[in-house]
Amino acid sequence: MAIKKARTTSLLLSDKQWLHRASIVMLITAGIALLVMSKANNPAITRLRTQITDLAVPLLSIAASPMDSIHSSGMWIGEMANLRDENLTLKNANIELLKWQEKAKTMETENIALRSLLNVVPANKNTYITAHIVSDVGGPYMHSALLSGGNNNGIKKDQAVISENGLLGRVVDAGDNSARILLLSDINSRVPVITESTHEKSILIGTNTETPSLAYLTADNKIKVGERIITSGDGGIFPKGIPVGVVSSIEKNNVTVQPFVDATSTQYVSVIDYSF
Amino acid sequence: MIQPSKRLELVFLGSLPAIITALLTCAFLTSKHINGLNQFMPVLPILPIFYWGTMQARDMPYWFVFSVGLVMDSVMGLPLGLTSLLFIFFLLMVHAQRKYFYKEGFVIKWGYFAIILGVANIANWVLLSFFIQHPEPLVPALIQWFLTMCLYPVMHKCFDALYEHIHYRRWQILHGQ
Repeated sequence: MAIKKARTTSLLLSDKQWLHRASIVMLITAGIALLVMSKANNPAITRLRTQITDLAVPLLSIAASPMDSIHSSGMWIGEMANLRDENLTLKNANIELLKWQEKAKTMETENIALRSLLNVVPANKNTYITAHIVSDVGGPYMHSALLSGGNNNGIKKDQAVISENGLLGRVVDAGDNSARILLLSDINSRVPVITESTHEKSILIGTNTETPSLAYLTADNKIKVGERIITSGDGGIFPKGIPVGVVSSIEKNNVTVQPFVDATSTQYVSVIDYSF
Repeated sequence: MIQPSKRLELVFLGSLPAIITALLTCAFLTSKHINGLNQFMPVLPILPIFYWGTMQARDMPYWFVFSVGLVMDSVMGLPLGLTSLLFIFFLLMVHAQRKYFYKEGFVIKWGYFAIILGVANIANWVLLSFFIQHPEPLVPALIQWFLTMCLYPVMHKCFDALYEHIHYRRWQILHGQ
C-alpha cells in the first residue's frame, strides 16, 4: 500500500515537473515566434502591440502623474525665482512684438489682396490634437514614446508631432487610446528638411544619439554651423516650415543637428492633422 | 481548515512579488522628465525577478515574467518577444545556478546577480543588433547594467524585509495563529 502511494506521488510529481518544463518550452517558442513575426512586420503583431499599449496607457497615465506633478512643481519654482528678470524680458519682447503686429497686419491685408488677384488656391488649414506623453522616451536602443490618445481622439499613423519649440517626431502606430511617436533621434527616423537661409534640401537621419545627422546633401553645399533647419514639406507627412533644430557640427561629410525639442522634458505635444 | 479570509490573505501574500514587479515595471516605463536618464535607467523589474526567483521560485512564475516582458516591449517599441525571451532566459539561469548561491551571503548573491544580468544583457544586445541589422552602441547598455547592479543592494534589503514578513504571516496562518 505504502509503495503504491509513494509510486503515485512520484508519478504526480513527475507529471507536474513535465508540465512545468513543457510550459517553459511553450513560452520560449511563443517568444521566438513573436520575434520572427515582428521581424516580418506581421500586421497581427502590430495589432497585438497596440492592444497591449491601449491597456497599459491608462495605468501609465496614473503612474506618470506624480512625476508630472514633481516636474511641474520644479518648473514652477524655477519660474518663480526668475520672475523679476522674466518680467523685464517679456516687457521688452512685448514692445518688439507690438511693432511686428502692426507690420503683420499690413502684410496680411496686402497678402489677401495679392492672393485674390492671382487666384491662389488656399492651402488646407492644419488641425491640432493635444496629447500627453506617458512613457519614458525609450532606452539605450529605441527612441520612441507613447501618447495618451489614439484613433478615438483623431490621432492617426504618419501624423507629425510637435511641441512649442518645434518638431518631435511622427506617429508610427496608433491604437484606439494610445499612439507611438518615433522621435527624430531614433535610428529609423527619416525627415525631409531644408536649411532656412541656404535652402539646401536633405534628409535628417536619426542615429540613436541626441544629434541626428543630415544626409544626401549636395557636394557644394554652403551649410554653416548654427544654421536653422526646418521641414521641407516633401513627402507629404510633415507640413513645410516646422522648426527642427540647428546645425551643431560639420566634420568632413557628417553634418549633425541639435534638435530644438528635448523629448525627455516634454509633457504635452500637439499632433498635426495635415492634409496637403 | 483555513478560514476564507485567511485563504485570501495567503493568495495576496503569494502575489505580492508579482505586484511589486508590476509596480517597478510601471516606474521603469513612465516618463521621468530627467534628461538622459532614459538611456541608462536601471532595469527595475529584473531586481524582484532575481530575488524571488532565488528565494521563492513559485511566486515568480515563468508566464508572469513573460507577460511583463511583453508589456515592456509593447510600451518601449522594442521587437515584441525580445524582453520576454530575455526574462525567461534570465530566470532559467537563476534557477540553474540557484543551488550554488541560495545559502550564501549577500555579496555572493550580488556577484551572481551581476554575472547573470551581464550575460542576459549581452544576449539582449546581440539579439537586438541582429534584429535591426546594425550594431547598437554598447556603452549605454554597459552603464545600464552597472546602475542596475548598484541598485541591487538597496532593493535586496527591502525584499529581505518583505520576504521575512510574508514567510512569518504564512507560517502564522498555516499554523492557525
